[in-house]
Amino acid sequence: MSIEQEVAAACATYRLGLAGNRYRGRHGQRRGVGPGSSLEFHDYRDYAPGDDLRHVDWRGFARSDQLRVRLHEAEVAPIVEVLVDLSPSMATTPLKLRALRALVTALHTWTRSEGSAARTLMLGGPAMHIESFADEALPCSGGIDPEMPLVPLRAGSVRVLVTDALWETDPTALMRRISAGASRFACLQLLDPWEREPTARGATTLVDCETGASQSLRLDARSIKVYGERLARLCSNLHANVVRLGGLHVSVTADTLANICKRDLVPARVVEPA
Amino acid sequence: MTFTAPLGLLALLAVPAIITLHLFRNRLPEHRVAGLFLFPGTAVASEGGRKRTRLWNSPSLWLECLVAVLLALWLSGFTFGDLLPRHVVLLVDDSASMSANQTRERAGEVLRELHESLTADDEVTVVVSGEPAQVVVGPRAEADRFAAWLATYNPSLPSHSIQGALDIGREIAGHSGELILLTDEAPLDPCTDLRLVSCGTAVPNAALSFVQRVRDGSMDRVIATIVGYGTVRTGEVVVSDGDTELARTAVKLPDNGGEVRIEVKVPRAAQNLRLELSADAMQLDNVAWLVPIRDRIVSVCDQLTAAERANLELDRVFEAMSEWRSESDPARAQVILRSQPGTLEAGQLELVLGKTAGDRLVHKSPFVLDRSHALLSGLEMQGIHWLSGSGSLPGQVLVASGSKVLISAEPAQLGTRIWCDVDGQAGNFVRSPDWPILFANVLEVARREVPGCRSEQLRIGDELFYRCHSAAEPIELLGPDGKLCRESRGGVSYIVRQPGTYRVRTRNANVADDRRELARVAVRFMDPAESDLRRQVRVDQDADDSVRSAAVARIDSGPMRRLLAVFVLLVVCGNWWLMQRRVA
Repeated sequence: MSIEQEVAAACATYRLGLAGNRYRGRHGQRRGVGPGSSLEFHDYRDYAPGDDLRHVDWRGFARSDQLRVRLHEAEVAPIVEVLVDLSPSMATTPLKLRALRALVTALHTWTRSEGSAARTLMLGGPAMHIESFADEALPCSGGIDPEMPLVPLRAGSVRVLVTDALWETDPTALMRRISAGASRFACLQLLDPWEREPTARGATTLVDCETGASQSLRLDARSIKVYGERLARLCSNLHANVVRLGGLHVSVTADTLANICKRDLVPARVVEPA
Repeated sequence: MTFTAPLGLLALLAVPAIITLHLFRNRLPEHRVAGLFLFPGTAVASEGGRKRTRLWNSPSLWLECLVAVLLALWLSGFTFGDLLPRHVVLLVDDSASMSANQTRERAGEVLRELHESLTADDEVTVVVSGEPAQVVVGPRAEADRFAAWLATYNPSLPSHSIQGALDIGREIAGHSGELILLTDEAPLDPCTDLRLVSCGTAVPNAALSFVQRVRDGSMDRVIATIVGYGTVRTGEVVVSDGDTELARTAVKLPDNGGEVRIEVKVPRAAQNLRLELSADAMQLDNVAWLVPIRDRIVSVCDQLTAAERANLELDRVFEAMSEWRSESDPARAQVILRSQPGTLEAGQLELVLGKTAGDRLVHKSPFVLDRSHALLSGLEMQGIHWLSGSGSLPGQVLVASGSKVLISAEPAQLGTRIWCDVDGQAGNFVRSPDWPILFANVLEVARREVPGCRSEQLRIGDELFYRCHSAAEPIELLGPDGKLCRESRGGVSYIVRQPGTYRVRTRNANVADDRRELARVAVRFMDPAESDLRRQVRVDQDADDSVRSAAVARIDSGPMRRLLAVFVLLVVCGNWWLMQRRVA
């Protein structure tokens, strides 16, 4: 099944889980942060010259002799900005790269289907066309260190960071900058199954796909145990950082898009059944 | 895997070499990861300093060590003990001294023991010494053929070296054969690579060293010399003709050796005389046979004119020579005298005498002579004034004066033509003593082509040569035991190896009873070196090293080698498969 087919199937089954939050953006179907023109009552405020007389609360004027205006909630289409980590580590295995491409394409498609605007931004790089993720030979040649995209982020946008977060440096600052001004922030930590649970390979030379550094070691149960502990510590730190910033941290294991949605995204309410 | 198969031991060195390679190698299968920093830093090899790593208990290590061990077994000829058939190369001294009584008994014991030790699968090669040495059984014959040869073994050759037999035996034995030398003396060769069985016994012996039959009036006289080697008891010589005893003479040899000469008169009619000395340590040299000596008359056909003959003084020359006769038919003559070359039959010698064309030349000695040629034997050619023509002579130069060839020889048809450029009218060559000597040599050379036997009295090892009048006449040669030795046409040549009387007979295939006897040849043994048994020794010397190496070489490692080769191939393929998987 091609990625397009997988995305089409996922979009038919799920949609973005944006309920419960107030967003900013163009006119749309989601509750906005401020007053708008929807039918839902929002608040009262004192009349000011120029206000639409149709929104004056005449009944309240009759009771209190004060001119007050009824405000309605705004309905907006939130802007979704997908921040993609395109460092070489995202392409350590074909499965991981395929999952990245499918996930980003699906996020874009889900956003469009909401009538919202979607932008795909590369960490440490420019905005990207979503069509480039349809290419199997997606170049993962981004920076090694976590950096903000070169394009400024929109205020009040929904920001979804897709990364493996296997950074040796502390990502707290990056997380803070990404989440600043966002109406909602989610970090999807995409890891390959072998990265989550490595198997014993005996004496092996491990080569870092980003730095090119190598290390010969015996990949046995003991070393795998140490690796697992370190990975768990890294993930828990990332989780704490994201949660502290009001974001959502989701561990995603590379797989087919349907499995990713069902196993990882739906329980975390990143997507919900359509 | 022993020190006798050092290749296997050397191949075992591959095992520590493989372990060393595994200790120092850094080529591990690579795996790309995203977070190298998450893995523990217990590197198996440091980046700098020592490059030795921990020895990993990997399947590749074990498989490579297994291949090394299998190869070592393959090279060492590992087997579970299957043996190849035994190959015995027996070198037998065929000299007459081996027929001495005690020596023969001991040799018989050794040969019987050897025969009994052979199994049906074993192979035997028997090489008898001689000049040349001969392979009489085999190579690699069955044991049954050895038994058949054993029944006919009858050493009778004169003294000779056994080195030829040793060389042949060693070549046939190779690395796996078992060499045994059976002799009666201590050989000059060290013989460290074979089992030496010398079965001689030093004993005194007497032998007939000389026997001759000469005409003496109406009777013939037999002269014999008896030699004693060591102190031999007194005996007697019996002369007989067939079953008839003609004379018996007592012989008393001096102490510590010496010789005695006896003479006995026998009737001229006695055809096949047999002289026998009393029995002693060796019987072979106690018997001699004498057959009547037939004259070998050379037929000379003189086709020169009377003037030429007179100029060359041939009448005077031939008058001084004997054992020749004049023959008018040139086809039946052995020597033809001509002034111009003519037609020659097989074996004929043509002497072309006369001055060649051209001016007369005078030559004075010294002359250049090819003294290796039989025609010039005994010629002095001193003080000779030789007058010749100025023409050239064809063929091989025998006598020359400067660039002028005076006598030459050339093959012509089936015979030989001798050119002699001499002017008998002047000069002194035909009147010199060298002139009759030259013709005597011509007759001696031609005598070899006279029909009949060249010699009726032969010793063992000599060549028996008989020539018929006609080249197409079928004849056969019978040995002393009456068995057929050779069949041929026109003549026979045969190396005699048995003592006794050989007979040459006609052989007409169309008429069964047409067996006319043409000649008799008496063959006896005479060799003082073999008759003297005082130097014989008895030794039984085993060659431990060679026997052991031969036993190792007899191990049949072929099937096991093939099996090991298959194992090696399988293990190498398995290791390759593992390596490929690890790389993938």
